[in-house]
Amino acid sequence: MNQYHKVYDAIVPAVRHGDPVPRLLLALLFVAPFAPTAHAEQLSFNRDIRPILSANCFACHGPDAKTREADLRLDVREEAVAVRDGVAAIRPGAPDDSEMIRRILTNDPDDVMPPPKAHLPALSPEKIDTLKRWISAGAPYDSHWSFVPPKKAAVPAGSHPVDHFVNQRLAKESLAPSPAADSETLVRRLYLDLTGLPPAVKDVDAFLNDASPDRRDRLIARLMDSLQFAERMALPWLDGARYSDTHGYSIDDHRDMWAWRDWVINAFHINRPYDQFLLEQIAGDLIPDAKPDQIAATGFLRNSMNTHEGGTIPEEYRVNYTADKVDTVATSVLGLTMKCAQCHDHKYDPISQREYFRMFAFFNTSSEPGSGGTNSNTNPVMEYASPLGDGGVEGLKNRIAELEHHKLHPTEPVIRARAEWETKQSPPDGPFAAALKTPKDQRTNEHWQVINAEFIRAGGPSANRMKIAVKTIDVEIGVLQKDLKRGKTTVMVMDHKPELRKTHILVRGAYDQHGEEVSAGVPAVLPKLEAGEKATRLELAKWLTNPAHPLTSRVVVNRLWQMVFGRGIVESAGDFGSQGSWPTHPELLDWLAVDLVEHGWDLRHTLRTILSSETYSRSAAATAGQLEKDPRNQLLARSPRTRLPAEILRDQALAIGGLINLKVGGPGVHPPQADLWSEISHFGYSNPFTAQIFLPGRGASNYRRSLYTFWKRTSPPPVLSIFDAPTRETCSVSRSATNTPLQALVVMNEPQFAEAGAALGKRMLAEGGDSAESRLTFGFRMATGRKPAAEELTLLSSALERHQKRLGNEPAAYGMIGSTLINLDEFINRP
Amino acid sequence: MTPLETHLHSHSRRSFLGLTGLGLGAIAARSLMAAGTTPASPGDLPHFAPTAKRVIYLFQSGGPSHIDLFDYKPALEGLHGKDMPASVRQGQRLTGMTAGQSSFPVCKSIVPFKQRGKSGHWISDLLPYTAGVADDIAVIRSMHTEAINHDPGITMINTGSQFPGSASAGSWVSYGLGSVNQNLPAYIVLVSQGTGKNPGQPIFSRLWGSGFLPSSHQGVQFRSSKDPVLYLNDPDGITRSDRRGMLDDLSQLNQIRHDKLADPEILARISQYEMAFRMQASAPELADLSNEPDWVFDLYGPESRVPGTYAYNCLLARRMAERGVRFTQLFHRGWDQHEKLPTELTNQCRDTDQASAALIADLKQRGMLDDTLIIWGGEFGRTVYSQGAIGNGRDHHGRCFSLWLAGGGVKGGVSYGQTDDFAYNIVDNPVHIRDLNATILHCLGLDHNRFTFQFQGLSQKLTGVEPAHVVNGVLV
Repeated sequence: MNQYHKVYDAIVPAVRHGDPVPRLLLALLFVAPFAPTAHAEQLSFNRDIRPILSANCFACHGPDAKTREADLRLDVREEAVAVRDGVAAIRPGAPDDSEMIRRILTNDPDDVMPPPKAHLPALSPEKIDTLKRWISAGAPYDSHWSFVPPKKAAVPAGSHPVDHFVNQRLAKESLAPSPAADSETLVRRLYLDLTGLPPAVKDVDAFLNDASPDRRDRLIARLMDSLQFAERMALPWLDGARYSDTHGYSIDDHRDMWAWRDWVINAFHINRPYDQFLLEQIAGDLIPDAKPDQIAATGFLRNSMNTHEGGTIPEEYRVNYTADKVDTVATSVLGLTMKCAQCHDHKYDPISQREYFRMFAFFNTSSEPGSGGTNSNTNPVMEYASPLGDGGVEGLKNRIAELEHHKLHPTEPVIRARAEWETKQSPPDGPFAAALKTPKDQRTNEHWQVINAEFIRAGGPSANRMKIAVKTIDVEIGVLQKDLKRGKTTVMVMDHKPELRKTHILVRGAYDQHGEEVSAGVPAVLPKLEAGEKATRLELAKWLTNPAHPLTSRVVVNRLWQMVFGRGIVESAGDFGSQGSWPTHPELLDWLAVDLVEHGWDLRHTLRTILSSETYSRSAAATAGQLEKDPRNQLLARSPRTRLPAEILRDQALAIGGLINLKVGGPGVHPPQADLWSEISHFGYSNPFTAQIFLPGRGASNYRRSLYTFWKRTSPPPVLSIFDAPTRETCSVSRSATNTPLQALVVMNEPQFAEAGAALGKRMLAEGGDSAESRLTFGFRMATGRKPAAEELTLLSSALERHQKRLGNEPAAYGMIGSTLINLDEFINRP
Repeated sequence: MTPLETHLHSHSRRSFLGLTGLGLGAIAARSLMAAGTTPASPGDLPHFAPTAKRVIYLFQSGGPSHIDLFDYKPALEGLHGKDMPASVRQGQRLTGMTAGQSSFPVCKSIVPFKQRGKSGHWISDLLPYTAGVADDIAVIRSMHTEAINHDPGITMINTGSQFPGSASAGSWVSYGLGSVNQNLPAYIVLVSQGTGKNPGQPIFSRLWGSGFLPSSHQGVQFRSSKDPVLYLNDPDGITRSDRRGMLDDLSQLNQIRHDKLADPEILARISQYEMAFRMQASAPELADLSNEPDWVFDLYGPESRVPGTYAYNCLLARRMAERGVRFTQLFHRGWDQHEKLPTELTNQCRDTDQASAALIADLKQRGMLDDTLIIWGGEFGRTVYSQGAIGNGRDHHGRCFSLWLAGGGVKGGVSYGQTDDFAYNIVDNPVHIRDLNATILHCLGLDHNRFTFQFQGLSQKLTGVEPAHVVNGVLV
């Protein structure tokens, strides 16, 4: 055995961090039990054949003309069956006479398909068999399913549409659904799904004591009316819209888009129909006599990252920002990976590079510059007041007060250095000596100013840091004060200046390689755009929200489904194209999509439909049969126990500790975290930039809901990233839900989670009655929504006794129990 | 495994099994079924026998000047101060910082070069310690990139794409090969600020982010603070035995819930909490240098005793390598010498030269250099012409730059690729960043063409869509 084999042996038994799955077993993991099984039933081109052709053939024999080999394309039937020199790739009815099958089966490395240079695994015998049976049956093609307008399949009278389709599939797979969850579980599930906050014990009791048959509907209606519902609905939208409080590129200083974020929350609160919601965000500025509210909505498109790095070539970045807008609309609204067609024709979907740049043309008329925006928004901007609450006034004032404090005490290292320096001072009588003599906790701002002045005069690196920090903080205060004086903040918006430039195809996507000039337009495979060559973003927005559009309604109901169940009916929520996932319940997806449009694009209607189903209210307990047949729970015989999204998990902890501050809207807040910013940022540069040092909030602002946490793209809030929040640099429509040791460290030790645990302990003492048993029961109900079982209570009681003995005081002992409760798997997952 | 780890491992394994009454195999098999959110398998990896078990990537952020460090050009002696001929530039684009200059005066290296070691590598006097390990390193003088500014440049070399959203090299390796040490992250990041240009250009967490890969593969930053890993320490007043007791309670409560719901993710959660508990011991042990003898600090230089410095981080990197961390990456800022080139570059070299060379020597004497791949380099090089007055500084240059590799699978003493007399254009054996990434993966036993992840309808690769080639010329 040579040394390399030794190395190899050492690597094999490795375990992936955060993923305790031995490598050898990995292969088993990805056997998707409900991958299309084409044996027992009629073949479907879209379900059974297209995925095989797409994954294995289209890269060289698909829509991209430039890389097409042998002038053969297999995505179009006429071309695939054409006989050339007596040979046809596909000869309908005759698989053995079809060149495609011969080339798949051959052993000749020069002939075999897919060829070795494609680095694809050989086709499995099952797939080859599927292809042969399809050819035998005449090789029928179908339009790609998501490009065909959805239709409502019939639902038997009296059946709930969701349950009808879900149960039909379960019956087909001989899977028995789990029984209904108990009421305690259901009420907690509804609260978390709809508001992202847990029910209080009294809320649970109110639901349990409500005997009326429509109690679920009434609870849903009440929760939907709350601002907390609007905040919860905004969360996934903000991911897709890549909402952020900083520019993202290079210096990554701040921007002011929070009023746009508040626009989104408000839109969900007033239940703006989805077509209107989209229309305003994509083209609000072009609506005749547009109101400020409608123009502000176009901030959606302006959430693109932005740079002012020194050597930037502005046109290169202006093109990047425009491409990002195309990508965001394509991914989040259309569910298409249009980005692939920026440099060449799409390899899998019928989107040519020319069509990509026709879409690009819609967004290429803005006066937005390629470089700029130091410590501020770039043009075009609009003055706008947040539609929520006091328009952000209190938030602005509060942040200014926080910053004034930091001006006196800037950053931990400087404070430490000053404290050390202070001990070595023995000044003669005077204001400095008087300030030093005053105990720290009694010093006034004036005292600190005198001390700081001396500290800076003494010089040295820490003094210099203090000087620069003060300069930086002054810039930040200036920005906020401007907003405050004006009574409005600003938001970056779209404008339409077609005279600025023409749109060209960019050869290989390069900003300076102009090809053919193109006009605005949409891909030919999708419905026609009536306005023709004169179309603007407004016509694009109307086209997207046309009731007959095959994608818009499907994509949004799928995202709602994903929000509730953790996974979409189409798992690839951002890809409804040829390479995307086949829907687990295609008829249900289509039914919900049509139904949404029929009900005026009312998202609450669709949510109510989903939430009123038996499927929704099932127990999460799995049977052995379910685990064996459907380990990933794709068919929903049981309710999914998805790990709660980062923001909801943190909000829940703050809520049950009684710490949460439910103020709505306003500028971003800065709950405490380590100052990771200054470790990577431009802090210390002679010209100050905003958002380069982390200056924690003080007091109540630290307990705001997590969606208000100031979002710095190059260093996102660590508590949220550790729980899979995306960076918000680009459009993202689904999050992973990992399970890692770093997450355990957050919930056990992060100061706010620890504080929440301790606070829950105090509440158990104050609100949980007089006996240990009632207090433990109260705490358990706060954390899980249900009463503890006898063995759980016994366990908690003996834990409490242990803590009491060790710690010797009640609040500390109950605090340990509080912390234990918020670390329960049951607390971290959807019930 | 260190003795402490062996102890912790057996201890936690014991308590773990005692608590749950289940074998590890059972847990693995169940959590296996639950990994519902992982969309694709990396497949059976590695693809072939690797030459390196682990990587230490010494990333020099800002664009170190190849002209003053590794790419010796005697012809520049006679051209110093003269305008660079237009035929050299070939109309290539320049950054916004020098595109408007009226002249482009050639500036020779600010220090002399000498041939070093048996191999005769040309290395400048700014790097005396690196010169001492010349025969262990392979210098690539023909690196190139399309990026001409920092943000796209550092994003490109660390993630294979100039645009945000792709996965970093370290997260790819974590995804593909996982961790050898269950008690430490597979991918650890250490950040330092140089004394040349301070502050250096900003860096971003996307450089060690997981992009489209599951976020459990993102790099974990080790910091020189009380908490080397964020939130590692228990709150004040909580002892280790309190924590152990709490975790025992938690495991039992979770187990009761599992008995009721049969959700394998609950068992996975139990094991992640146990792993966190072990990490609470293994991470401080890793960061505790008190047992390192003086001669080790002497080897890495006096700054290796100062937390947060590059030298300190190099020493930590060796300790991570010993403990089985798969991918350790240092990010050292300050290599952006637009001005004050002589003083700033000298300072940057003083920060890094001794410790980088020490890392090679230290691993070598421990018998670990053979299976540790070390990479030293930045996102691009710098222009032969002066930015501003002659000798003032140099602008960014992506057309060519130098970088070195050492250790697992690398042929020491080799120099690869060649640039023209102006160190401006490549004349022989160009190596694109994607070729470098293909080579790194190759050393780890991974075929870059087959190492993919499905995202947005594409088989995403670290090396991107253009063809990439392993640089066999620098490999044994």
